[in-house]
Amino acid sequence: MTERTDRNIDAIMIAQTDNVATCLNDIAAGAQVSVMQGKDIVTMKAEDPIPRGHKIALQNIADGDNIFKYGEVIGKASATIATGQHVHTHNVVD
Amino acid sequence: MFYGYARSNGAVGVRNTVGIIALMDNVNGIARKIAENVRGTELVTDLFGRKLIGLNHEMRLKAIHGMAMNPNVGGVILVTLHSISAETFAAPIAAAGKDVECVVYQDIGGTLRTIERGTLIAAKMVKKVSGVARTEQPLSKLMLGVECGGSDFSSGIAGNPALGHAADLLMDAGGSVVLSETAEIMGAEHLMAARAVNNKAASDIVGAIAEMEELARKAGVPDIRRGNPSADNIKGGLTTLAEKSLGAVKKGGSKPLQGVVGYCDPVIPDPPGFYFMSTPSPACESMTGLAAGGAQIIGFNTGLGQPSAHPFVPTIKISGNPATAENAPDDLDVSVSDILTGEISIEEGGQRIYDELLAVANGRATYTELFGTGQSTISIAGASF
Repeated sequence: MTERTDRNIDAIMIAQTDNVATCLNDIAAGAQVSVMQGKDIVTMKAEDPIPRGHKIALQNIADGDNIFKYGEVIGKASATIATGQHVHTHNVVD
Repeated sequence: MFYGYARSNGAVGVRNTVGIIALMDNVNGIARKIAENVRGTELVTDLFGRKLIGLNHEMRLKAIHGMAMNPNVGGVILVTLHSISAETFAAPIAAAGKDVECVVYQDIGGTLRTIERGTLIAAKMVKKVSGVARTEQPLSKLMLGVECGGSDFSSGIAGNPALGHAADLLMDAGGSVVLSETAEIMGAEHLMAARAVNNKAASDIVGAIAEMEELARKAGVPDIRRGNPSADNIKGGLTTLAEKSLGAVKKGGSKPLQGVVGYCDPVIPDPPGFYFMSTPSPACESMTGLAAGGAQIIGFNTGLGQPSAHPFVPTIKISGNPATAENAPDDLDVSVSDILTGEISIEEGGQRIYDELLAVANGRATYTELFGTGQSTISIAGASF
């Protein structure tokens, strides 16, 4: 975990228990992504291209595991999702 | 604690206004003139009011009674066409211990004489009411309504979560919070039900959604959930309906759900905490419900900007969108747009909203109060979701 050194963030994690963050900009595959987590900014690598407003996995998520955003369950993984991958309708179900 | 106006029924106002309420659309002009003539008054007018039947009549009775009884209202003047309507509305308000006077056009005779009489009655009531002083009050007497409108990308990830944090801070301090807008919680009702303190609250929240879906069916929309989240929502990054709804629900904070009330019913915060009122989603109708329910302050998060407020209830405008903060500084009482620029956390944004909430409770004016741009709208059955 890195200290907050600059004020540019690319994604925001809303609740401390979330396993996804919402991207504020279009992210290219392989890009370094600064994720605001509470007061901290954590840097990670994007494994997929992720459009603005879409979600990035903050950790490895097993097939069938809950997806947490807002500290609540918003759906279930329908495939194995690796850290940094795009999380959306292709790998999440209600 | 905060400094508020203690009322005889134990409620506490954060304002001490004389409410001028037109009971029917035909006297709106007269009521407006009376309000313009006397400082210290706030005006509520509406469309309709004549010959309403059934649910519409009941909603009107509850809405006007509730607004008159709002703790921010020190006394109320009902402006109406004839004495029958005056009696119908005034008697229960008087019985509940609130100062009420009627200005009845057909009894007085003539527009100008009615305005003159109404003006004198209003001036005397303001003279009386304005003699009440603020006293120290516990935060358990404060009820915040939460609202959002003109939503955009920033609403679900910055403004609403920050407002939700402020809501949690208020409830931690003993206060209460009311969330509304039934259509917007669709898809998150199981999560709301799971937060309920008892079976009744859980079944009431699910029932409120079912009722709204039935209303939609009657209006010719067979399945309102279908196509929700919409193709546009999905393109924008929303994956499930629960995710979409949580973006709105989270402005109410994260505390257990204590109870559910119907549109314009009183919210009795016993125990204090988190409540839901079933209302349509358009902001003016929803805030009229919150005002009638007894909320003394509304926290209103907007993405793109939305100018509405309730005349009796100071409405704190909040945005998490940096462009809106720049373009509409006269609409925003609090900007939390620096969440999305990485300068502050959601919690810090929530603390900023909470500080403003306490300042407004103690008397600081909101922009919509300064501009006098509040608007009340009582729902018409089946017209909007």
